[in-house]
Amino acid sequence: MKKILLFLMFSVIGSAMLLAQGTVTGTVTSAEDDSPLPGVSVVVKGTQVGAITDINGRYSIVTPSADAVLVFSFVGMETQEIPVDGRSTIDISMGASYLGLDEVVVTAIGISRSEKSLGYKVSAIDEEQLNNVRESSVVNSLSGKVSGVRINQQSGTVGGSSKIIIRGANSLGGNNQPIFIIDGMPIDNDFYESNNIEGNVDVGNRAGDISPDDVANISVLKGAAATALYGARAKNGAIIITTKRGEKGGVKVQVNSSYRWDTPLKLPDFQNEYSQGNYGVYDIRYQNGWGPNISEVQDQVFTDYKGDEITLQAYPDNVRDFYQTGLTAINSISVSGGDKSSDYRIGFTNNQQDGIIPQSQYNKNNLTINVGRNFTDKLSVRTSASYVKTNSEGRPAQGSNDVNILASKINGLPRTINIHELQENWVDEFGNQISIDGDRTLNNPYWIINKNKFTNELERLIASTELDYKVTDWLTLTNRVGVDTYNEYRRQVYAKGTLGQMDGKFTTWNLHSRLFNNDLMAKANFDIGSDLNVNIIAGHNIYEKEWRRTTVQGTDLVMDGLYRFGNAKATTPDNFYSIKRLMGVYGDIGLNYRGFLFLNITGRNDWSSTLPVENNSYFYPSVSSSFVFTEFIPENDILSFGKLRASWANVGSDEDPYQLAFQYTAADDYYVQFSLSGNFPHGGVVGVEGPRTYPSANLQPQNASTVEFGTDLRFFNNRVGLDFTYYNTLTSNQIIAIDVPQTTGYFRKNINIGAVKLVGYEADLHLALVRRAGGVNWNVDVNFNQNRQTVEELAPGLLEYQLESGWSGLQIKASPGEEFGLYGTAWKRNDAGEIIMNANTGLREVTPNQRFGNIYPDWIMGINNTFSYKGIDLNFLIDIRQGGVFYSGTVGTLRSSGLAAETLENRGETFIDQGVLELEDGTYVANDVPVQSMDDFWAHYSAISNTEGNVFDASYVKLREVRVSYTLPKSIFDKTFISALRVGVEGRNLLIIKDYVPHVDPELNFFGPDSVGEGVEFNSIPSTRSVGVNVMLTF
Amino acid sequence: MKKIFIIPVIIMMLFTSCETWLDVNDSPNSVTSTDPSGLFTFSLVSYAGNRAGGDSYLPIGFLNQSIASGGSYGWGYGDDRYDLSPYTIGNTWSLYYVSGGNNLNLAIDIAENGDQVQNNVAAQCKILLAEMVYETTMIYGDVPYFQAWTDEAYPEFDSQEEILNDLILKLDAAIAQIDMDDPIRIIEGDLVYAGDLTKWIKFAKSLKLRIFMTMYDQDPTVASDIASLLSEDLISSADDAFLFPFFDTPENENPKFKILDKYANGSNLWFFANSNVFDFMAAYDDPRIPVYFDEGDDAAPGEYSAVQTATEADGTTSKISLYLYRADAPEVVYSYSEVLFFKAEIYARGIGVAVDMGTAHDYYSQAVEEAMTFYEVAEADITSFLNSDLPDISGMSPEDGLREIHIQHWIDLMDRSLDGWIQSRRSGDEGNEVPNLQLPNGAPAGGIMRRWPYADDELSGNINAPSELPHIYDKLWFDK
Repeated sequence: MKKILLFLMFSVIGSAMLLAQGTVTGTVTSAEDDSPLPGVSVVVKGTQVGAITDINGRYSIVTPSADAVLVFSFVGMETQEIPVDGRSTIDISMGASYLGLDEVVVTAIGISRSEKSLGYKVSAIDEEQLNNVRESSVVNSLSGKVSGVRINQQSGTVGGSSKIIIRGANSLGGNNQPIFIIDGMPIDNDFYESNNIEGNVDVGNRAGDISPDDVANISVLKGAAATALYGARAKNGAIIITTKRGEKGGVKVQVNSSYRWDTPLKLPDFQNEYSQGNYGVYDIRYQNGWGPNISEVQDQVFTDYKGDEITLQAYPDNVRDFYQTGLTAINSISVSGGDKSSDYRIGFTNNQQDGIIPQSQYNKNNLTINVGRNFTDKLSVRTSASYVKTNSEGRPAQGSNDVNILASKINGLPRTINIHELQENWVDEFGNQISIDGDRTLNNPYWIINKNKFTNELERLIASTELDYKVTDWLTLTNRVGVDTYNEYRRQVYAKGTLGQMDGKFTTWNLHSRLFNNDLMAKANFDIGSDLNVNIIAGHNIYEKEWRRTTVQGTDLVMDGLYRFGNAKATTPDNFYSIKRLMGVYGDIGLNYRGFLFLNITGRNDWSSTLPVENNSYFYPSVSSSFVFTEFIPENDILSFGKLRASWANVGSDEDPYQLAFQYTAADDYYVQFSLSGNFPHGGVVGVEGPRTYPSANLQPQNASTVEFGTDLRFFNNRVGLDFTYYNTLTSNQIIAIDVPQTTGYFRKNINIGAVKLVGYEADLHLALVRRAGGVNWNVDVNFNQNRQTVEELAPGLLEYQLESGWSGLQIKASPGEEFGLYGTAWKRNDAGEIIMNANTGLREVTPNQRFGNIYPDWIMGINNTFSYKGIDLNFLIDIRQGGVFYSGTVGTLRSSGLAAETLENRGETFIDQGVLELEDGTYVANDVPVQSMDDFWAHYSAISNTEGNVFDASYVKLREVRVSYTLPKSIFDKTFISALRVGVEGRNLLIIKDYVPHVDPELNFFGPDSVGEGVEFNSIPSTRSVGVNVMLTF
Repeated sequence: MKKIFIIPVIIMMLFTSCETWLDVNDSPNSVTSTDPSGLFTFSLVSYAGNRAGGDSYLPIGFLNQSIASGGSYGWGYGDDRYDLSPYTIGNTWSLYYVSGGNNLNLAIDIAENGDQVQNNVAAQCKILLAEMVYETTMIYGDVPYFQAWTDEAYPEFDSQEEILNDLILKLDAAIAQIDMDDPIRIIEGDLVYAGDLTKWIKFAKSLKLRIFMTMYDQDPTVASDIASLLSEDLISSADDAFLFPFFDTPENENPKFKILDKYANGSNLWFFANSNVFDFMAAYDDPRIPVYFDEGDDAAPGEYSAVQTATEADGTTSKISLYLYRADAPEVVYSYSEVLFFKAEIYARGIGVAVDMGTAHDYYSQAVEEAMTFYEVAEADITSFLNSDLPDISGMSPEDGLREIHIQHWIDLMDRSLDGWIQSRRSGDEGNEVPNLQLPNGAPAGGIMRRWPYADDELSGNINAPSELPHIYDKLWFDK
């Protein structure tokens, strides 16, 4: 620790010895309308000395010498180089360019840097790209737009979660989500799963609380070198969000309204010829399609679920008609402005969503304030705060083993049920449920929708304040302090009379989270000689994360509909608290040699509360370099700009709290299969349990080492741009709980072992196909990421490591030399690969624990087309995924229950499955044993436990976004208070152009976003297609 | 300019309290030392939950054909056809080794090596552990034992013979460890015997009898041990039986009740009378029929019938009764009738004693009486059955008499799948077992299921796991 102190003091004192040179000030305006341009980067050429224009377009920059050259750059503007020539004031006007060459991007710890100086890839998304088609979630709006970033929208639940994976999953231990930073403050993106995979309700991950309307830009930091200053918390990358600020001038009011209509993107293909029953005999006990052929029994009457005598009739749209058209209204208003020393912006966004599931809704209100003030030339303060309130009702349960699960009931509706009639017949005149089967075991979906609504309510405050003090022209001290805290209340109910929970039950969760973060930094910038500029940052960080949960379950309700614990005959409370603290010091030395060769060295040392005292300190360095080689090539018409970059970084990280000591806990429950676990106390007696995971008192920090090379090339006067990156990350010494032989007495043991390697390529291609000032413009942007994950090492002798599990043998596992894969029960095959049949039944023999393939894609690609002509813009985004496997429990159920269209084939006919029979002498002959019935065939082939029958290729091509908008000519509003008006028609998730999974969207996933598991779906709510209109009015 | 020297000062201040500030890693959610009683209770309750639940009672009941699934009409064909979920295999394995076994071992360690030596507590834990280990080897065969629950990272697998022999030694040691004068014992947490050490000793000795009876076919030398146990104080009344209580209170109910309550609205849609039990009962007009079974939905009152394994049931098929599946039905681990059946068998086979069919009949008849009493059959019905329906075996050949004993023993164990599986496998040479089970329709060829495969996790995680895996139809050591 002393060394670090010395280093800090040295850098601070050393910097003080350098002399300051002259200062240049000025204003940058737009050539188009003379309005001031805020956010323009002003850099002294050949150095990293830089400034950004304020809301008034004003800047002030220290120049090392009177003959320095200032480089002005701004997204979408032509970069200009202006020699100072001894002047102290330089005002310039900037015109539009087609491709910003030297953009300024926000990097770690909120530091803006010129993109060309970076030795690693940072993808920046501006407001325009982000809100091209409005989304209620910031995460979803990144989909397909950033190379190496994969977004997985988990389900069609309103306000549901979205998983984001940057350059592949590197962690065996679970969470692979990047850190989210808003205005320098790390925020919570947790996903607390109340019910695990059993009846899980997708309550969304916390990044979804951010309103995209408040976002000015997003930087995506992908590699370890980019995130090294954040340390452990950013080992999976960082999403850095800068919120909008006010601009100098009068009050600007902006109103933005969107209305969207949501419908299911993909619904199953049903057969409509057979009714419910067993082997062709009508029986209302069965929610399936194995009953009689409807057309053949028109002369008969049958008793339906209401007890009515009916003639059977198919209702082909009964599932489609269950879903309603969801409506999303996103309305925001912002007021912003500023004067020469202050700026402000207040934004309010209301997001109201009615889901496609009847009676499901999600509301979100965001109030965001961003205020900045320069008190003196030296002292300035900026505060941003966001208050979020969300509440939802009726979000559906998914997964399995829970009576509230909806999708299986909807998809499982016999073809002869009229959904409109069912909607009117879910309770009888006495308030008793009308079950959809004769045995009164299966809940009527409308009972669940009407009586068993899951509700949640969340209040959150994210606030941070940054204080800047310019000690001298070359030295600035900054302190940024922030807090992110929320309280969430959830309630899950099972009304009295719910089949499977006849006496009623409810559970409440009170969740509290608080993050506190403080960064204290000194930033210095000076020159050594005339060719070398030095930029030094020294910082200190403290971080605290606190979490508290109180859960109470009440069972056996006395009065119906009253969800108070006094109304429950038995209550089971549980509480949990955890806290984790981290302290770090960091330094960053940036060298800039004549504006074409850059070198950055960073170091950070962290001390974590969660590691043993003797191992709790860990240091990690990074080196990155950038070389603009076109400086050495004569100017030419082909290659306009070329840069090479390289970086290396090594990042450490810690562990969850309380993993070290051998601990006993009071047991809440004891395990019984089929979700029948009982609770303690049992007969008034409590149980105590030893740890299931054997702790290690000597955990070491884990380590991720990344090498990244890249190049940024622009051709033909910037009409073609190609950015290519290669990366290789090895995450080793991972702190994971490995499975140990249970005969040791433990399920797992915490150890530092295991390594996962990610090797990949990222490419961003920009094509300005048509470029006519004032005329047609057509740009194509393609981003591509190929990622190869390899499990390099597990514990000695350990051939497989279970990462996640579903039901009936389905598992996600890691195995050395492989990617994370999907495992389960497969068809038994002989050496020739032929499927072996059972000689008695004609059905396939099975063998457990086989690998089906990778769960992650081989590559992903986004293709974005932008056309513009005189205020009319047309965009469309195509999102492609290639490779990986997908397991659908929904498909399995649809087929085994004889409801899927394909189950019509061979019904009532002789069917011999293709395969072989094993003879006693070990040889094989072609199978000639017919299946006893197609009911048996599908019941076996698509059984949930026979994984292989429900595994598909996860590849897809999707039309992700389309937008047409029209910005009305300014002249129209000359004499009005309106300054700009844009109207647009937009659509999201419009079309699955190609996929390989029947009946469901291959993107569904029932593991939470913080799980490594994906590509598995059980009774998920269908994802949605949205079409809407948008009006943006500025005045 | 001088102000910049504030920075190092501030930073130094930030560091001074660093170590204390970071010292927050003691969990408020758990403790680092505990009393052994709670560990015993957790282990016991988890064990009973497993035995009565979907990872033992159901799959073993189906595979051993004491319950019928009714095919698609009922629970489905999977279990009937030996399509065991890897979770079931793994959950039961982890119950015996982790939630059950390890917590008992932790409790024993605290009781023997803690601040205060608690010999009786250690003995209670050891006796329960012996039953769990016995069940483990009865399900999986050769399993890790001597190196299990030690620091050994990859415990070696031990032969069933060695394990069973050592369990006897462990039980003797536990009995010897009990000190009746020492008041320290698990009382409240002992949901079975409430700290009554006399009953624990009776259970331990009866367990020795159970183990010896299991070993006898392969190791006839245990005959003398069996004979000497006859004069010991075994479970000698219904009051001594090892019954784990479930309660008719929320979340404390028997899992057999919960599965129907939760998923079938309290009615039995899935579990049917299996011909392999029912036919024996029907042949003797057994008064337990209306206790064990409820009539099918479409059957006339009093009309009982059963189906074979892996066969479609219909509305007339009798179902396992809601009486057996009541919320507060106890989980029976050792009943008085079982001791009596063993004694009848000992005299019929002449194990360590001379063959004596008269004594055998007395025990046999008393066993059936106790069995029926346990299931609350009316006294008059019992008397009438014993007098007119139950065969008199005193005049039978030892072979025929033994068969009748095994039939009644098998019927008594219908609701105790695991104990029934052990009993049916030890009830005779292959082909002469009671019942003589046939490979179910659609099950993989090879033979009836005689063991479970090892848990996948153990096979992949333990380098000492056998590389040549036995077939599910291969016999365990004891199974002649």
